[in-house]
Amino acid sequence: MVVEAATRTMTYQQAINEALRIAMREDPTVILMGEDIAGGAMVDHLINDDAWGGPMGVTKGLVQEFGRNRVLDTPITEAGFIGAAVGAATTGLRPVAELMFVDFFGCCMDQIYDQGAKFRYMFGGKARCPVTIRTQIGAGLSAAGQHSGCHYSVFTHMPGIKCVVPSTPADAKGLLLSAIRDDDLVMFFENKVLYGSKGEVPEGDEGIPLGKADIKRAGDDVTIVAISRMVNQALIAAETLAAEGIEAEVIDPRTLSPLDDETILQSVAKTHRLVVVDEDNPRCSAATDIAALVADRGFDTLDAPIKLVTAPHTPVPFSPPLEAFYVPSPERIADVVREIM
Amino acid sequence: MPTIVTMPKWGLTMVSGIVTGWSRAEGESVTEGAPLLTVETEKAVDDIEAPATGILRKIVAATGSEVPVMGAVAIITAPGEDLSDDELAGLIATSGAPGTAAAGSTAAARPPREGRQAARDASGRVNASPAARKRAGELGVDLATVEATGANGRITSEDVERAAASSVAAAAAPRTELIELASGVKVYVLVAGPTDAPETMLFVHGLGGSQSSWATVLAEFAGGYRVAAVDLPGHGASDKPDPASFDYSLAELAAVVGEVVEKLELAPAVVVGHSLGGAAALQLALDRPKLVRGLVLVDSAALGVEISPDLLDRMQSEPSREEAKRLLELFFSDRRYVLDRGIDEMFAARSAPGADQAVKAISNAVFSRDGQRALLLDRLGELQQPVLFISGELDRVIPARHSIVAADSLPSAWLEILEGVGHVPQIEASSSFVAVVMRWLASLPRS
Repeated sequence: MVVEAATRTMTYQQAINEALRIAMREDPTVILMGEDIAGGAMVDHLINDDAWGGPMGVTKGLVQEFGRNRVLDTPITEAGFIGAAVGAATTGLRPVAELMFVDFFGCCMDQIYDQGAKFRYMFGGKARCPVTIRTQIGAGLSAAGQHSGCHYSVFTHMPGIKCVVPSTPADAKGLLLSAIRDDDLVMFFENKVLYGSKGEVPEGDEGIPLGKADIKRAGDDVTIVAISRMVNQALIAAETLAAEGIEAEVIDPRTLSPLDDETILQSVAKTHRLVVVDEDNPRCSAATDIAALVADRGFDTLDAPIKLVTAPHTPVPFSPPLEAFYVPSPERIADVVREIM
Repeated sequence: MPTIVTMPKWGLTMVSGIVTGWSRAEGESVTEGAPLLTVETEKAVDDIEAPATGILRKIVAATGSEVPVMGAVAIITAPGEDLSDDELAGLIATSGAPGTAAAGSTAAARPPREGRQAARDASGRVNASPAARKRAGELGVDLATVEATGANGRITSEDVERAAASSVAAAAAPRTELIELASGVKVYVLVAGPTDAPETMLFVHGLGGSQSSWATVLAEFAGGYRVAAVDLPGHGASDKPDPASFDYSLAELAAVVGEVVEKLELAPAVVVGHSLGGAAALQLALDRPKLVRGLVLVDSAALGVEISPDLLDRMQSEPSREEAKRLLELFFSDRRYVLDRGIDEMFAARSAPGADQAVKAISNAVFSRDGQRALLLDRLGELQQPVLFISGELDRVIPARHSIVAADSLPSAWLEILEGVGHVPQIEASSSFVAVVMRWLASLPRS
């Protein structure tokens, strides 16, 4: 996408914060709810407010501007507040709920999948559920097995849910604006390792359309489809490969549901080779889904087997060396590319 | 600015030349146009002239060395210009010889993969990627013939494309053929150029000539067109049947040209005919218009009565080196084109067994002391094809006036009179010749 607006350098976390602020300013029905996002449910004054804004500071400063009625601290009850957000969405509000870590989805899956995701379908298109659920994914901070998974594949599997996986600050801002403005249930997966990463972010309130992949690097020799933080790993691998004369095209789908099939198929038609890089577990995953897409509709364009570079089929280990081994590295990606050239 | 002297391409089939001597040593001054070195090819020895005035700074190709066409043989610097050895090496590396370029390039390029025989499974199924199979189907390439560069001996789509391109290149590369005509006579043809070209061209030489009459221009046309140059019966490397058993008339020569067009699947071809070859081309276009897409008539016979009595004398005389020289002097306006090499070639051609009686038979059939017998000027109006007339202004064999009168009678025809040029403009003014024919070809209505 060609960004013509003026830009500023900011972090992924600041870009999300800015998108929330813009959405709340433009639409008074946008409310935020989640654990610790305002600064503690029992605190009724605003002293020391600099310390507030969620465990990662993503919602910092919003309660000061929009007040406690629009930035709601909730109890540690995912079933309760995700259910409340889904309910509020069906009755006129446009809530943005924060599920602190995606690993906790088990506590609130009925509210997400069996309720929110199905309303539009089951009420013949007459109901809508404009709720966005922000959640953290990703290994790399030694947060252990219950706070480090990706699991976006689980949600991608389910009809009625849109799944957004931004890899850059600019994408995070533009995609979150579109997610909030969307009239369906959107899962917005923020990679916690990326919160401090910086990038140029356009001014203004323009959203990035959901379902539009971005070619992060052009190349003719191999297509690497990489998801979320894996985009960065793939770009590093691509530079290594370029020094060897292999030009990789790195595609960031940006949303897994809807998926931009055409951009991927067109790229593979050009490069004749596909590597999918995914930090999620490998079975029945976004990676296998993309591989199946190309095997099905791009078979005659392939010159080599489709390769997947993913996490192993285990929970995320706590041990830092094991955790580093768990996440696909640029070296592994480059090795796999070399294998099929 | 330094000037790189390179190995010229003197003929369609020339790929390299051997340096046989230098007229100047390194460090000596050279003058533009003065002979600098001599080069021997498989067919000839000739001088290469200095392309610039200055100092012969470096002889790249010492006497005895073989250099590919376009390869550097020397570097001339302007007076006072100084070049380091590194700069010299850089210049040599960037010259156009295949295999010497890109030595200084630092950009990473994918290392070339060694092709090898494709892997097969127990059933004999070739290991080829899905894309390779699809491409092979599209390009009509047999996977069994393709070398594999992919992992595990797998043929990739790129391998298929490379194999297809090399077979296209092989088809486009010059080759010679002996075609057996229905009469049993075998004619020699040089064929070159892309098989999928927009036009096909057949070149027909004049009396006593051969396909080598077109050597100076054929490569230019073969770059974009499918071209063939034939040796007429009695000429060059074709059979030279006894006149008692073969009819050396213009009608029969035209029929031979038509048969060549058919056998080489060139129809409809642009037929380019020189002198007697022009008459044969014109006769063919009238007799069998479907075979002829257009006519280029170069100093053509059959367009008027006059014919040089000198030519008839030469044709009727016994072949000798002196006669060959006089013939060439008659052909060329510029005496510098009368080279020893050309005289030797002409003498050898006329002395070949059967050549002399064939030439005499044709000469007697087509010409007489009263002038040309075969006259087709009155029939030009029957032509359905576009025509380009070319003539040397100073042609002493067939006057340029014939082409002018002929062109006047055909409103759609093109006419090019080349100033200061004699009977053989494709040699004496080869670049002008190529340019006008190319322009005319481009003007042809799409078939």
